[in-house]
Amino acid sequence: MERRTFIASGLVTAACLLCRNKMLMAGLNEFADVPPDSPLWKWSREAYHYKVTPRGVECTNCPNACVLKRMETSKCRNRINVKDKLYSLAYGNPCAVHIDPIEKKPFFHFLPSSSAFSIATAGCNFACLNCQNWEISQKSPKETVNMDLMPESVVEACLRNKCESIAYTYSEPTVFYEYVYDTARIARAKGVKNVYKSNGFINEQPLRMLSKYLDAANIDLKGFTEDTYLKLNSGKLAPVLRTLQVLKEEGVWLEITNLIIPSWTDDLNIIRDMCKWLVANKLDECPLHFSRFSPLYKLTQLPATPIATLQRAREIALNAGMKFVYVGNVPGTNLENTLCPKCKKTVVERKGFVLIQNNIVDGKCRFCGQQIAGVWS
Amino acid sequence: MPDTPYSLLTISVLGLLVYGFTWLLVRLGFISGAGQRKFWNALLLIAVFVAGTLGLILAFTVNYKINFPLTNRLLVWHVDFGIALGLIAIFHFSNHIKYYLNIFKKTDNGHKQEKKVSHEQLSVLPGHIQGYKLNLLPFSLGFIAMATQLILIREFLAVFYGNELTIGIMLANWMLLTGTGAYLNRRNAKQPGLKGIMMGLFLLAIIPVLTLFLLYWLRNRILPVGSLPGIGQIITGTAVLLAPFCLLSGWLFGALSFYLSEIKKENNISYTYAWETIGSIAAGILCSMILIFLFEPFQNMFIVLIINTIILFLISWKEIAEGKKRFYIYLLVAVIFGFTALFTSPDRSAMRFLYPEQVIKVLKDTPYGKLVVTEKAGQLNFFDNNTLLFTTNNVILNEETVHYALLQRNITGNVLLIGGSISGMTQECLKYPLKRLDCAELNPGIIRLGETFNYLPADPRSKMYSGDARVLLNRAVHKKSELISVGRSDRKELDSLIYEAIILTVPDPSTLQINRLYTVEFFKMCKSVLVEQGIITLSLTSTGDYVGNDALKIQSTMYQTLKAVFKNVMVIPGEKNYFLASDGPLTTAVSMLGAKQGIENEYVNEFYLDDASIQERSANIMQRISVAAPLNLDFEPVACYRQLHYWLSYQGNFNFYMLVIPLLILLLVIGLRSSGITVALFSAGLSSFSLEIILILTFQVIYGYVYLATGIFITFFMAGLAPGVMLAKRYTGKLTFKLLILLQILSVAILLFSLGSIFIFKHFQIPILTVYVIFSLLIISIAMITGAQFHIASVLKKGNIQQTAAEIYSADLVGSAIGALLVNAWLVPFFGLVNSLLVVAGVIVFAILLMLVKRQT
Repeated sequence: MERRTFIASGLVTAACLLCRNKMLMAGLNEFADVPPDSPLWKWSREAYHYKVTPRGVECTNCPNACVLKRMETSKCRNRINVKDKLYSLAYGNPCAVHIDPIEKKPFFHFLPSSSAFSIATAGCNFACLNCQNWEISQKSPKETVNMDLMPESVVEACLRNKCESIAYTYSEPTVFYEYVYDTARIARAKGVKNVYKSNGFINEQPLRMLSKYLDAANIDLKGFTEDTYLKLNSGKLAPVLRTLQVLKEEGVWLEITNLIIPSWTDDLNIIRDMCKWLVANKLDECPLHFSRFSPLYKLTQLPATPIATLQRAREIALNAGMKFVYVGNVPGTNLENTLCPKCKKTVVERKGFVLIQNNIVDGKCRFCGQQIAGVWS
Repeated sequence: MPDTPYSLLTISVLGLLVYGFTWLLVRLGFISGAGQRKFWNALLLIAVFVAGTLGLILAFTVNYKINFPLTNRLLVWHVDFGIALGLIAIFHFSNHIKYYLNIFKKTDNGHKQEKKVSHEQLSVLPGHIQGYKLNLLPFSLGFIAMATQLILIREFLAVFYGNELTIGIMLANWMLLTGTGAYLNRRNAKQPGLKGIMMGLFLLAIIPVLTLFLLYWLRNRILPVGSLPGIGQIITGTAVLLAPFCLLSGWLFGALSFYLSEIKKENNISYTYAWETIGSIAAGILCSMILIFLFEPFQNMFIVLIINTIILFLISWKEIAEGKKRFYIYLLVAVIFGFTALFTSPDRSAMRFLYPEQVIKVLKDTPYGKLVVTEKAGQLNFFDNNTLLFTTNNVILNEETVHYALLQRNITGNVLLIGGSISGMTQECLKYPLKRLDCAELNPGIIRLGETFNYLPADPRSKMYSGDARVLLNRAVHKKSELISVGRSDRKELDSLIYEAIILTVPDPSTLQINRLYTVEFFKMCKSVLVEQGIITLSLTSTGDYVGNDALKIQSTMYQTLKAVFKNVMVIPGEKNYFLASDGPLTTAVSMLGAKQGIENEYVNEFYLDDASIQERSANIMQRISVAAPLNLDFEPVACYRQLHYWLSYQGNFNFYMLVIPLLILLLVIGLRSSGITVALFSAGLSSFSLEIILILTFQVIYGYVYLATGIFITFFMAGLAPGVMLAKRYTGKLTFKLLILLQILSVAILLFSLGSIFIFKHFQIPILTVYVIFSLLIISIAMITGAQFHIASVLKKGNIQQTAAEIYSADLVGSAIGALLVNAWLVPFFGLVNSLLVVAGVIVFAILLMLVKRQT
């Protein structure tokens, strides 16, 4: 072999090694600033749902089913395999803590006018092009500025601020499952309600386990085709639909949000199919919120959703048999009021986040006695 | 210095220094070139061995889960050696480039071999023309190239995303590809004759039409609909789409230089260059002063095609008389394209690709950008260069922008609204009992759209101004000081010049042009026309429920910049992050103020806004704002740089230096590997293009954006190149390498003189005409030096015509490309305008030193 050929071969080999090495390092980089033998930190807890396989540790928390070799992190950036045990990196370290009106989540049939103590950690199992909170969701907890707020402290802070519920929201609570679960358990014991604002991309077993402590959930049904889910959110539709069914079975109060994005999710035929599916699966009493899209994150070259489209979607949903349909992010309309499905009178009148009048007595319409589904007190 | 796990910077700097040292030793004769190569080959072997062995060990530990205490340490060593390996590999490749190139060439024994053009081949070119027709050939090339650049770059910016980085990338891609085209032609044995050149020129005028079509057609087929393209997509997208045109254009330059030299039996490279430049000037004037105002892009492309066909007719009319049919074929194709343009309205069709499921109501190309109005489900959407300006019924944005500021005071005087004049914000302002509402829009096209859709307020209190807000404010400031200085105490006249509130509703400071409205100097100007406790408001992209690190940097700079001028600054988060600044008190209790003042809103009221919640969220942001954030200044546009970083953070962990470091390495390798003449041309391209950009930006900073001024400066630059070539041609003395170095020193002197001029204009009030004249002279001077250097280089460079033409033309273009990218995307945003000139001057001094050490060729 000539000298030059040898050197050339050496270079090619080195390049291959470098590429291979780069892949291995993907998970390690994040822990470069901690001692080599302890990649975990104060805010790590062993995950509740995983299994060890010959290929590595498989996270069974969500349908992404990440299989992680040692020191590798999950797609949601929140889980790491350390010595064949799966750890969450987001436990007691929220990066966003706020107090919001419950209507802002939105929950319209759950403790109206109450406040929700809202928390989120970094990470998400989706990568939506239009994410409002991408600075949280597309980061790992190591990259955000976090607070030190263990589950007991969350409940204490919630009570201190006179909030009736704790909302797990902003990013995706499924990826900080252990934190949610432990906090919800303590909150339930102290009489505080737990509400879950999620993309619904969670496996059945962890969801059923968590449901024991959940009082309400609002699931983002981001579209109704697998193609949209794949391209817009890097996710899948089927597991989200299953989540809706499971929450219903578990008796968790459920509301559904559908963000209508021009050119992506504004096909009225698909919206009709979606509503038919909801009705067929006995979810017709779940409030359905059509939300107006505003250009955000990577989807900034699209206009906001026309109000006429939102109104049309609402009509389609009502015609399909959905009982409570609302339009969100559009001030100055009366599309946020609750109408009695029987007598069609306004039973709850809202303006913004303020309740103007409430005509529900013991969960029933004051005018005709019709049961209005929801958790009203 | 960030706390990074791997010594990327240390190893890179150390490697470059050691390489520079060994290179110097060779140049000074202390060691031989072979000795240097042996030394680096030995280092390469060591790096390969260590990185490879450590890689193997790590692969075993990971694959077979072997617990090894030093794993992490080994990994760091492995990566560090990998970095060294990568760097040495670049040096190795650079040292042995001929070896690698020879692999692909055939030898006498059936292998590839370098082809040389023989003198016999040179003299048998088919087709000959004489006289003025010879000039028309390079003229035509320059004309098509410049016209296409002016039209296409605007379209690319409209379809992708226009900030300083993307502008730099597009210009750099353009010039790099053209340079590559010229370089590819350097060893072509079969140079085309007249027929081939004419066919090439005709093809060159057709390609842009197809490129433009593909740009629009592919946009939403390859990228997700409505999404912001990533940096990688912009680099590859522009490179792929521009490649056919730019490669052919560069290739034709080499072919033309060869053809004209052959016809005239002398070296005519610089002659080709000069006439190409004259063609560029003609296209520049025609497109930027006439066509852009009158027609749409596809129509402009067809006009260029027709003009080109006429030029080709002028060149070959004799051939037609002799019965040749070539011209008729050209004419037929041009007519087909022309009819398509007339009857199918291709621009509107292209817009339908870009705005799917929307009806195109208006499409208007203005010098400031492409304005499009679409309609969907009864809603009108207004786009400027594909960026959404506003949609009808955007109550939240309109109310938040206006009322958060105006509710803070009992407004009874004048209010200035900069931008947003037709989005519905004027109607919000007019809810107050104000005296006068002045609305300033940079682009007069937006006001015309307001007239078309009846969105201009009918209220007599409102007045529309078309022009740069800085020009408007400058005038008001001067008039005010004039009134005061002459002792006129006409309270009414003075009152008419001052405002109680200024509402700034322009996009984030993503370009240097917009950044001028976010600087300390601009805010001072605003303050001087505000009443004592007057208020100013501006907004940046919303940070949602959490402020990330990159967002925090831009928010901190904006906060501190306002704080440098006003006593109180406050941030109110909403649909956007609203910054309020004033010397008077400010509060977040906006819903309470709304109720108190009796202003009826749909969104900014107690039903939608909870003052306590706003206070809490505002405090969250304010607590994290850095007190050490640098200020955003006219001549140091920090906000623009930070905004670029923020935009890049959308792409994940993309590092800005992933672009800059390879460029710097490329710069160094080119410098070290090239001949003195190539270095001269390369640095001439870099210095002249950089100075042109910096002077244009300086003018905009001082006097506001004037479209015509920008056009004049660009034309003067082109106009300087050709006389430079001619002067050098007529120079009676001997053209030597020393003369080239002297011209290079002269260009440094011009850079330093420009520096001094900018310093004076920055600190003293100079009449605008003087600035015009001085800047124009500076631009013409540096362009003339570049032209002269091009001619001298073409004479001094040894080798055959097409090789010489290719090398000096591509060196000039690559220099300009690197200049465009570095100046636009890094130097000016990072170092500021003045320091950028110093850096460019430093690079040219380094180039002069290289030229002194190097041999001529």
